[in-house]
Amino acid sequence: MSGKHVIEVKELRKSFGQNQVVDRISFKVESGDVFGFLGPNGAGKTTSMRMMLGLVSPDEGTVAINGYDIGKNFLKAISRVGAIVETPKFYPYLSGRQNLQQIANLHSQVNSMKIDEVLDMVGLSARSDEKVGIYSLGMKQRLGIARALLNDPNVIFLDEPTNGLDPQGMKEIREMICQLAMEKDITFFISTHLLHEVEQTCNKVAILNKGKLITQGTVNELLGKENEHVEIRTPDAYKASNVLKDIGYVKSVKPGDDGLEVELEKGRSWELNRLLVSHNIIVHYLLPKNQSLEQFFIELTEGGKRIA
Amino acid sequence: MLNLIKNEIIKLTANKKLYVGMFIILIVNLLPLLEKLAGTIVDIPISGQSFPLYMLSTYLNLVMPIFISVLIADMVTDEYANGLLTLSLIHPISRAKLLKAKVLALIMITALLMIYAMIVGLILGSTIFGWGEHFLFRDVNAEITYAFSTGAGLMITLGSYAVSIIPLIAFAMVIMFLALRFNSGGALTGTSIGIIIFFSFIGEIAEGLRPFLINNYFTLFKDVLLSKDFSQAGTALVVLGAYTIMPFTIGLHYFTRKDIVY
Repeated sequence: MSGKHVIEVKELRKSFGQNQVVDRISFKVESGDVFGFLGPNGAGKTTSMRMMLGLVSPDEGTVAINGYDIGKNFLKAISRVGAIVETPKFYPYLSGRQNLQQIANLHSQVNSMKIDEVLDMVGLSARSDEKVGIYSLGMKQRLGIARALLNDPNVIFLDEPTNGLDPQGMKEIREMICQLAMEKDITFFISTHLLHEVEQTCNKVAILNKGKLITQGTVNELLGKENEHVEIRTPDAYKASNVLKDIGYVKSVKPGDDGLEVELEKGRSWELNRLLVSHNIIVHYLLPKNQSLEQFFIELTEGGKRIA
Repeated sequence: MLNLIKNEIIKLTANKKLYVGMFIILIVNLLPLLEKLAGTIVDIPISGQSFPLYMLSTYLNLVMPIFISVLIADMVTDEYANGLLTLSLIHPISRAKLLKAKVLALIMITALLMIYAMIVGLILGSTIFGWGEHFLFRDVNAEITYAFSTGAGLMITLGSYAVSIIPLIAFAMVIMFLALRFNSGGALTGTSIGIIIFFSFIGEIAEGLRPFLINNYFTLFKDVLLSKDFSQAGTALVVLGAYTIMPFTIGLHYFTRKDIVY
């Protein structure tokens, strides 16, 4: 394995009975990456992550973390890993600090000062002696990240890290991930079904559907971050369509519910607006449009235009 | 390993179930008071000093096996089903060590509970029946009455509680093996109670099977410390050894290969 690859997955396959859950997936995660593992619910993301962490035995294939095979050399492979698998779980009758102490006891190098440090990092110092049973979901998610940081990992696995959180909680967690990646040089492997989460947080992405890896690459390449989508609400859709068809920065024009849906180069929407107004086209609204995962998959699997 | 055992002990002692069990032991100790009031134990010589030994059979045949099943359901099955087992298994700890730590913590808690039950028996027995002049012990439905000095009687009581940990460990290993295969703590506890009842029933209807049934050896202390039937005690140790080693070995093999999907 190359030294710069923190995670290397080769031909990983797993079936439960007749159900092929993961079908020969391979990818590499380099040091410093915030790697998105994107796919709809039921795509096989959690099973893949469990195989990568040694919780589930693969039928075929190998996983290496920090150069060590997880199946053959588990203790070394897992030694610098932090992880939250699915929603963060805790002993509800223990305090936040006691829950962290449970994990600290599994590592000889982790002491109570480290527990204080990670609690401070996630902003839970003041509530650390309260029982986890009364924590909100957001607090549990932050405590989960604190737990994942306890052993000074160089790679952290997060499974749907913003699942169930309110918008503010989602923002906080995403900012925390970006901050840790930059300041602590931690590689993140983030499993998610949220396309915009990958766009906002990750630099690389692998896309999984029905157990198969569809594609992988940088987020800019795969998710078309050089382009953006806007919805034009106008009663003059036909006229607007004719105006836009020969404009270089406009990549595609499709009819929408109350006008048009347009894909154009990022940052050019103000020019689009001025162009339409200059042609006496009434523009009620110009709305930025987030592409849904479903739309993205349709494009990826049926349109095929962005498959790397 | 010590830290793993420490983790298990912290979890067990922070859990309400342990204290509910201790309260039940307290309540069970009050039952002979009802029997005394009802006049059903007039022929049995009970005093404060012999009361813990009188109660031991009840603990061993019913209270402790159920309590151990509840603790194992919490330590293994519920931890697995609630995704808590995963927490330890994504750290540099071998599965074999984790399971051994759970077993050792359970043995320690069982020993502490036995000491607690004995002390509660001494206190409540003395309060209800008075301390008594001699240590006289006769089991329910038994014909022999054992008489000892107070000091010897108390030593025999202590030894009986200590020896009784052996059959409880054997039973715990059977339940631990099942716990690794169940996904519901409630179902495991129900099954454990079913096993106790089933074995008792089988022992009653098929006497020839009794030597192979674990519950036949729950009161090992009588062979070792009262009747001193060492041949029977030897047989008991062989059978209990098999009940301990086989489920643990197979369970360990299974656990180290189990897919952790919760």
